[in-house]
Amino acid sequence: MPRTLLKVFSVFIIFLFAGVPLALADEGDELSEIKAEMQRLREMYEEAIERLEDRIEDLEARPAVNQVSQTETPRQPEEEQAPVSTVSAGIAGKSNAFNPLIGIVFNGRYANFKQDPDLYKIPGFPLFGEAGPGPEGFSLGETELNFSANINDLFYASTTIALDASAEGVEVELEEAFIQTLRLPLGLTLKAGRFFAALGYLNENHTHTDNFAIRPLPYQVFLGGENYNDDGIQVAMVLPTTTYIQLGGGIFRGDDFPAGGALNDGAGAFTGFARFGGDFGVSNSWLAGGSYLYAKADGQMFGAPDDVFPDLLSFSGKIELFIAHFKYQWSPQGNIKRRYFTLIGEFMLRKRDGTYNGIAYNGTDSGFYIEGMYKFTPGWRAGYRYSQLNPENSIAASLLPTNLNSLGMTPRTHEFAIDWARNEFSLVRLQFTRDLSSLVPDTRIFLQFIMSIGAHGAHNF
Amino acid sequence: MRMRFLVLIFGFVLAAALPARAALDIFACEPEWGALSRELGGAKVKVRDATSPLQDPHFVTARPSLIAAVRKADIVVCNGADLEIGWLPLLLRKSGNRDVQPGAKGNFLAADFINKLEIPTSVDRALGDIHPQGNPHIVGNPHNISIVAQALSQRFAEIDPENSAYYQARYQAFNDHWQSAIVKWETAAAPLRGLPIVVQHKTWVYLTDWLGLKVVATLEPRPGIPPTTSHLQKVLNEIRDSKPRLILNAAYENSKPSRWLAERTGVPAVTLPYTVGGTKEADDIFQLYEVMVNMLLENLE
Repeated sequence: MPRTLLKVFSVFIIFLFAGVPLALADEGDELSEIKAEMQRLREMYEEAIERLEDRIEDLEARPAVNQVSQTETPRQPEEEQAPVSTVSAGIAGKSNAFNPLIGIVFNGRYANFKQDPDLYKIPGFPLFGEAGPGPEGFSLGETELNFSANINDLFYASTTIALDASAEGVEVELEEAFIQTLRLPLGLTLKAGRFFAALGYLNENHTHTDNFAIRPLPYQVFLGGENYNDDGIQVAMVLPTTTYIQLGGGIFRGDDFPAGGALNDGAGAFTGFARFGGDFGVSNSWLAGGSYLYAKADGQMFGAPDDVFPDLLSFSGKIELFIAHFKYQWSPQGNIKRRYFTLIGEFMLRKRDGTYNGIAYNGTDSGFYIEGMYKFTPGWRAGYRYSQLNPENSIAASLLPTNLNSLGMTPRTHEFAIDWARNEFSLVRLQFTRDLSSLVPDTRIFLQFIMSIGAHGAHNF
Repeated sequence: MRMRFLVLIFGFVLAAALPARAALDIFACEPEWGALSRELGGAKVKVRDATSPLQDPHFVTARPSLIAAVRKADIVVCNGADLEIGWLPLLLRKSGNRDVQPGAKGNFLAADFINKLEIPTSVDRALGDIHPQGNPHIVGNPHNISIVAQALSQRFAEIDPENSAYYQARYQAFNDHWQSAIVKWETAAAPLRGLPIVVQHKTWVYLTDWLGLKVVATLEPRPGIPPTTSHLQKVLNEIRDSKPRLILNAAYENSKPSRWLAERTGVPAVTLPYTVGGTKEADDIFQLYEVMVNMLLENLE
């Protein structure tokens, strides 16, 4: 291809050079002079073209990389001054460095349950929305599209759109669409838009980064199975200390579970959080934090009318959620490519004060999970997670026939997962779950793949 | 009571947020840039290395201690060319430190000043961990260090103009010493020119380019993908004719594949420090090249 281009180019050059004397030419012997001149030019250019062609052949014979001759030693920088910002320097590289980083996450699975997942319910904990183990058999989970880039030197923006394919069709969910400041003083950052609120540990992470196929029990019941991602604004401050200290809080619309109904004129939910972290030597890292969510709900509906057990419940009132979390990671020399062990735990306590179906309710329930994940050799990990819920057992007699009745159970699950990753872009997981959260114990098997193309955002610690 | 408590908290936050500048606080992504910063900054800087020499710089957890360190830094000195793509952007964004964001003076990427090798003509992840901006392992060639040192010294002076004369003097002294060291290494390494070698990962292109070593095989089937035994077997068959003299891997890599091949061919496997601190002897930026050149020569017998 370049050779053809070269020929076209050289013909053009010849015309250009030959054209000048041609235009000035008179008749007679001048013509022969010109002809001779043209001949000379043609020979000159043909020679030059031959040389260039030889060089191209030479280069083509080498591997298709940019090689610099080995004798050409100290290379001078092209520019001595500060280089232009590499922007968020993604996989984008050269020509499209100013376009957003684009990434797509694919997520598919095969699931086998002993019990019908449509009948899944946890006594004492009415489930909201799509909480639960998900569909049986082959299914495509959420396909996530992510776009992100620095807007300019002051702002960064990111959006994640989830396409959720189900029997009813493809549902589009705007998981996140936010801007974030980059240049506020004092270690302050401000996020605005819709985003995963800084609550606990898992809430800020996309489900595709989780170590297990579904979220643990406390997330299923207290946060609706995924994330609290409401519309609002959040401010955070990192203190200039050796130990990591981040303090912050947010105000939200109050329209995403556990909030509902966008009360207080659409500013009905508040969060606050504090996080601490550090290292012990080069091989151990830790993170611990506490967070709080205050939300209000207005006529929040649980269960569906077509459920086999008609337990439609409507909650109005206020919800407070207290979360404590920690993470510990051990990795020899901090080299996570080869080996690591992580231990993650979260405890959630929920207080509700309001009415269920118009009947006064005031209760406190809680739950926790703890998980360990061990990367024993490059590419392979194995892990275990235990989750448990502690229900509120004193409820009004008139609510006893509903799913608020815990039946004296302590719901819990044991999950075992083993996964294999070719590199950070592909993961295949096999998971066994012994579920003791429902009236009838269930054994679940998941075979899942999570893969991504395009830019792959860095994961949180 | 409550008011007093709030005032106390506010005071604490303010006191913590406004520290007096003592020395230039440097966050170095890799030990080689930390070491260079120490050479150039001397007593006027305080350097924190984000990674240990035995850590794979492609894969680092954006852990809390690093966010805290970036928050306090006056300048981040990193490799660039996407080597830290998996963790640095997150650290910068989470730190909330405006002085070190991309485009700010406190954001220094060494590879921006270097003409990269192996810039791919097309990028396909089926080819493995390909860096679109070119091979990022620029530390392999000490001439690259000369270029980066000059730019970094200027940057220190821009951020900390009070000490610009100090940085200039340190740079002059460093550069004189460095240029003569390069001549020494190049003279010693002359017998290595044209020598056929095998490398484990494409970590060494700048080193081989500098010393004129000829790479006849790479153990990783694709960059970042660990080799399987069957792939190693294939490499073993392929290199029969080219008779490599050395097998190179970096201290942070798993040396198993290199040792596997060494056992079957009798070709010595050499674990080079790659960065400052990668081996005990390579304890500063001068020793790094000294040790690497010597290790290559010693293993030739």
